[in-house]
Amino acid sequence: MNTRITTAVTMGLREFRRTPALIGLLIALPLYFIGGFMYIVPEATLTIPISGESVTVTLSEFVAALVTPVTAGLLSGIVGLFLMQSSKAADDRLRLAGYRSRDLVVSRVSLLAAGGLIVSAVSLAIVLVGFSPVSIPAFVAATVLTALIYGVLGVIIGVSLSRLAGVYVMLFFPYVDMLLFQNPMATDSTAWTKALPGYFTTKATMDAAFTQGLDLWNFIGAVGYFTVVLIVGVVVFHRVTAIE
Amino acid sequence: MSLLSRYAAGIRASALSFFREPLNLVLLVVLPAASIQIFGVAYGQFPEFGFLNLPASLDATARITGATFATGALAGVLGLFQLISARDADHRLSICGFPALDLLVARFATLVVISLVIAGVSTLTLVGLLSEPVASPLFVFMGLTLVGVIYAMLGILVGAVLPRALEGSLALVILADMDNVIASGIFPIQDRITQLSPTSYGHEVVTRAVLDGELATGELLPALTIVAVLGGLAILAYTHTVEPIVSGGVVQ
Repeated sequence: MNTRITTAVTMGLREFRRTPALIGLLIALPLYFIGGFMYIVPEATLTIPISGESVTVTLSEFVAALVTPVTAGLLSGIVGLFLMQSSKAADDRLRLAGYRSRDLVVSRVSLLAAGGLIVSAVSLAIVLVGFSPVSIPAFVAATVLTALIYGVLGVIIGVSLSRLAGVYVMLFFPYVDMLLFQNPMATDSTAWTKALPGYFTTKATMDAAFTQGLDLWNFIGAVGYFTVVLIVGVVVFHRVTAIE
Repeated sequence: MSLLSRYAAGIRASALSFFREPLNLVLLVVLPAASIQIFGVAYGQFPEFGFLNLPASLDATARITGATFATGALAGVLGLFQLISARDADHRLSICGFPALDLLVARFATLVVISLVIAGVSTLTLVGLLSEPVASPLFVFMGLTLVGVIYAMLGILVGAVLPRALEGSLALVILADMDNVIASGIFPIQDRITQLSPTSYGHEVVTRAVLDGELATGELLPALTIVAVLGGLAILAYTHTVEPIVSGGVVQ
């Protein structure tokens, strides 16, 4: 990595460190969302179909497994949205100062990845206190992939829509995608819901949480989905930061 | 200029700054309609589970939840950005001698007007999309307006406490999503928790209006209390935000 990129990433992380309110929110909000859900759901068991098996789990465990990637997706999506909008002016100046578009793309993607990892780490730290997935590494990987996919989607939405529409879409989209469309209880899903960003990651999360066998295709699909949205994101970012 | 004329001018200026953007008008129509339809499709995938104990059919519950979500979340995001964007301008106007009360009335009335518009669009969409007839569209509109105003006040409060767009949006997103799940009644959550959900009473008012055509007076009073409390807090927060700080006679 060249010094231009390391400087841009270091400055971005320093800016993040200087916003204690943001750091506090990234800890408090997952605690409220995940902890709150685990606390408020009634004591009940349910049998859900996961990877062809019928698995009986408590509602609290089920909700914990489901809302962890939702939280990571929601928060990293918003971070991605504002990363793009807030860094636009700085990136324009950096381009004029001699930064190549590639340097900016790598530094912003690195920052986005850092944001996704932080959000995932906090969400996972909270959920793992009260819930033990069958495969913790796979559960962690699926949550991080969700955060990365939605982080890049946040960037794309941040460029494509106004701030008002962007925030509303990021408020709405991860929620309906993972909590409703990809919910394992939604047994009458239509085929097009498989094209949504949460399809592979939610299946991978549920597999890791409740079954012994691990379906690698879910992870391959999620990585593929991330690669596609990343390519789209890079193209969009390149166009936005290009000097006329 | 009389007091009323000043207020009217402020409201018109504030509302026009929002409505003159064609994209904002499109969003006001498209987002509620899309949300109600998507909620309907999404809930339609769930077979009836044993722990669901809903007063309405799953389709009606889904679309009512979509309507309250769209109305609340849109009004909340608008309230948040109104405060963040108006913060500096209103503070300067206040320093220039513009009465803080005029600014406050203009901002809050604009949010109420926008909440009425969103609630109107959501009501029309709900009437159009529900498979069963809506018993009282007027009471549905009232319930949705309540939800919109509650969230507009919440948006202002969040914007006052977290005056940056990123932090404010993060907090509002999590609040709205959590609140929506609790208010929807999808999980039979304990009553004391449900009472903490800002839109649960508004949601109930809308549900009763759709199903029975009655005004749920038992829920209306708590909903109005929430509006009053949040409105009071939002006024305090806004006043604190825009008023010039006077120290030793020097305006800072």
